[in-house]
Amino acid sequence: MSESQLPLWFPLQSRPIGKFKPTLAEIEEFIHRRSEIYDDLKNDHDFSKRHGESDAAYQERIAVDSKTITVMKMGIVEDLVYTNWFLEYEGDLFQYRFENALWSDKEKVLDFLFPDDEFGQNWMVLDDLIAHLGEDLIQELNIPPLNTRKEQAKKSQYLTYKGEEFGMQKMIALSYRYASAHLLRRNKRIIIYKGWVLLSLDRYSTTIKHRYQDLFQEDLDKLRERIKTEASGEIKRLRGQINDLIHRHISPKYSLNTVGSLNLEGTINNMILFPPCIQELLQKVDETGYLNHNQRLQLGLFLKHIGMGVDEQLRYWYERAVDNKGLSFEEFESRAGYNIRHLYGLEGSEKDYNMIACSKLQLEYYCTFIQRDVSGVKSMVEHYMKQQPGYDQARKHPIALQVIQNKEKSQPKMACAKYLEMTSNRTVKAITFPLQYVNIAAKSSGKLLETEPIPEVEEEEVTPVD
Amino acid sequence: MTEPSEVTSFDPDQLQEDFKRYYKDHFDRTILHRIFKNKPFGTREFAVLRMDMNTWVRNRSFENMDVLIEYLTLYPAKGVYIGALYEEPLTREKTIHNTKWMGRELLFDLDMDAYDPVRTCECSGRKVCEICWVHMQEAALIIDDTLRIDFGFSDLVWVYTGGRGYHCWVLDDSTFTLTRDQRVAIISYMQLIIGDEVKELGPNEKFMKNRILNHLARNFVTHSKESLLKEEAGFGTTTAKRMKDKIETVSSPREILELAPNTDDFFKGVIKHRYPRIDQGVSVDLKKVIRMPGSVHFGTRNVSEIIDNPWDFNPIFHAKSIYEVMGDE
Ligand SMILES: [Zn+2]
Repeated sequence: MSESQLPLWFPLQSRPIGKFKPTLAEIEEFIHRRSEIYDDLKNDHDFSKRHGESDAAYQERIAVDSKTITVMKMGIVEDLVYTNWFLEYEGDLFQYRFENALWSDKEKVLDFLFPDDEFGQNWMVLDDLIAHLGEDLIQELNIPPLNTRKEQAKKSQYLTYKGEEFGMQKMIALSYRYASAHLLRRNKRIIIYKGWVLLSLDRYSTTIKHRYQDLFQEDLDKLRERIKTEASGEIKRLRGQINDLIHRHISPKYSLNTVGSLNLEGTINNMILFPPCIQELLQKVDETGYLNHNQRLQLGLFLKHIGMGVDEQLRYWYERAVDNKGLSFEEFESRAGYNIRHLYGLEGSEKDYNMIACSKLQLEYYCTFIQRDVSGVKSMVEHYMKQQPGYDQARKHPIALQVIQNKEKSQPKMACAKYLEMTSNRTVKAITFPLQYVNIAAKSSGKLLETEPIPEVEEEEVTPVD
Repeated sequence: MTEPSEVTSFDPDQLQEDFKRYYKDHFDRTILHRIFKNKPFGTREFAVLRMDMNTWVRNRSFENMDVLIEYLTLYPAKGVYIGALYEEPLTREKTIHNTKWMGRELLFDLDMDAYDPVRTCECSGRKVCEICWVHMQEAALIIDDTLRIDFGFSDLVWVYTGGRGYHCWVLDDSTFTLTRDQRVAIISYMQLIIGDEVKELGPNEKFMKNRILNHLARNFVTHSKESLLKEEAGFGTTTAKRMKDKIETVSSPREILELAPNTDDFFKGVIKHRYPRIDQGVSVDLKKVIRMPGSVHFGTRNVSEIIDNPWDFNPIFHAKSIYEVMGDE
């Protein structure tokens, strides 16, 4: 699939934008334009070709759009604080445009986001999948026939569009390789069949957005690598000037001055008060500088809730990441930083997330007593015991033994409670919430940790940005 | 009742010799050819738990199968395990941590241990009997079905571990380079029980329910006491009794559902007590080592073997000890 077929508004393509030597005034204007679009997506009418407009006129118009994003990229690529904000807004803008694009353009964008690989196609429309599998999926899987879907589309908010032509209620199939755990977990409106995830494109455009953001991030990373070696002093200066202008015009909706009540040293000194899952994650960051997405979310939320401020957390991740050999700081920080601010409700949906309950951690995140096997739990307990005077063998310690037994009985919450009892002498039946663990441990140690009260309800939904 | 039993009394020297002789003369090489397909042998990680030193040897690769078998003939192995494929052969310097990971099979691990909270027999821990092994058979049915129909995989190999469980190796080429996150997505779709809670059915709810009904519902009623039907599946005293009485004559699983006072409660009960309990770690950890099919399980002296019908296999009757294989007993 050649790139030239992509719609002109799609930013992830290398199109020559001609000689581009804007003046500072022009740059200011470009920044202003882009941020206006961010602020009011619904007014972004201009991205597609107007009725009766000539190709040349449209191309000229959309070239300005390309220039605005080029300027933004130049000014932001090395500014890790703004990078994350940028990703989120560009993601939303993409989603809006994609949703409102012609079907023929959607097809091309989907080809770009989910390209064919050695295993074949990675996306197709339902009709093609039916042909591909040679099965009557509509009948077998009970998918509403096309005319019903059109009816539904008519009733929807997109009444002004011409239904199918604009991809409304279009069912597509995505390869299972592109289905995230979030997509596969609870979404009742999707169907999984023969390695294909069947979903209505309109209902699941956030899935498409996340894929776009991943590629956008990669694009920025590559650009950052490139300019390290290539850029001339002049361009460097220009980037600095653009960055200043962006700072002057746009203030992301959060403040970096949030002061935490717990600092980095405080965290490390208080490790023993943390549930084993968190201790392990902290250790893993120390050792490898890497956590997967959900683990990062889990640790990030935890640190937030024990009172670490957003600055402090950024510093925490920064200091751990620079030690890391395999991963450049930029790679790590631009991702983690974005997620961290997201946790504090400073970005994206601006929702102040609660800590995740243990039942959910066990399912989707990291629980020591789920993910370690029996011998893993045993060695962890033994490791702890070895540091305690008088006990060189976990087997001889009745509580330590109960930790292991509860693991053997697949009772993670009780195993965790026994682990707490082993380390703090406080008895509790089961741990259902990581902060419950901290509160009890802190009381027993006499240390005062300003954790937030434990919410009674554990139902709070956490939707990580992936 | 307690088979496959752990053999405890032995002459250690003789045992070491027996194991070495097994690998020398009786190890079935076709098993590894089947598992590795056309993938390179020499850059695969193997791990060996040595009987003579009782320590782990990890980060090892063997040039080819002859060299592996030679090693196992020279040194007595308490357990032999397979890890991922790497770019270069592993050595003391080139470890799994600093050598490029090239891929690994998608794996599912089933172990009777995980069923302790719901076993209806007297067994627990390492014990296995005819009644509880049905859990393993059911799990294999459900997983096999799910992998083939929902995910479209076709190259599945089921392995009896020699101990208390099964491994399922998915050998379809598209799975070999799946990332951890992709594996998490697949396993989280396949797991319905977390801790002791049944999670809400997500995608494919209807089809999943059919699968549960067809493969698990009857056994659930047969193996559960009336009290359990009442406590965990929404039955009243009368309906629970009637259900137990009628189950032998019920011809289709649909009828079972019709007898249930509340279908949601019924499904919850069936899932909690009969749905597969997969050890997630093995599926998502890209570098974890897993018992080598064809090797010997030290605890039971059984050979870990590829089986065609895990839903019919029962180690109490079908497992082969190395002594049977070697023709000594
Ligand atoms: Zn049993």
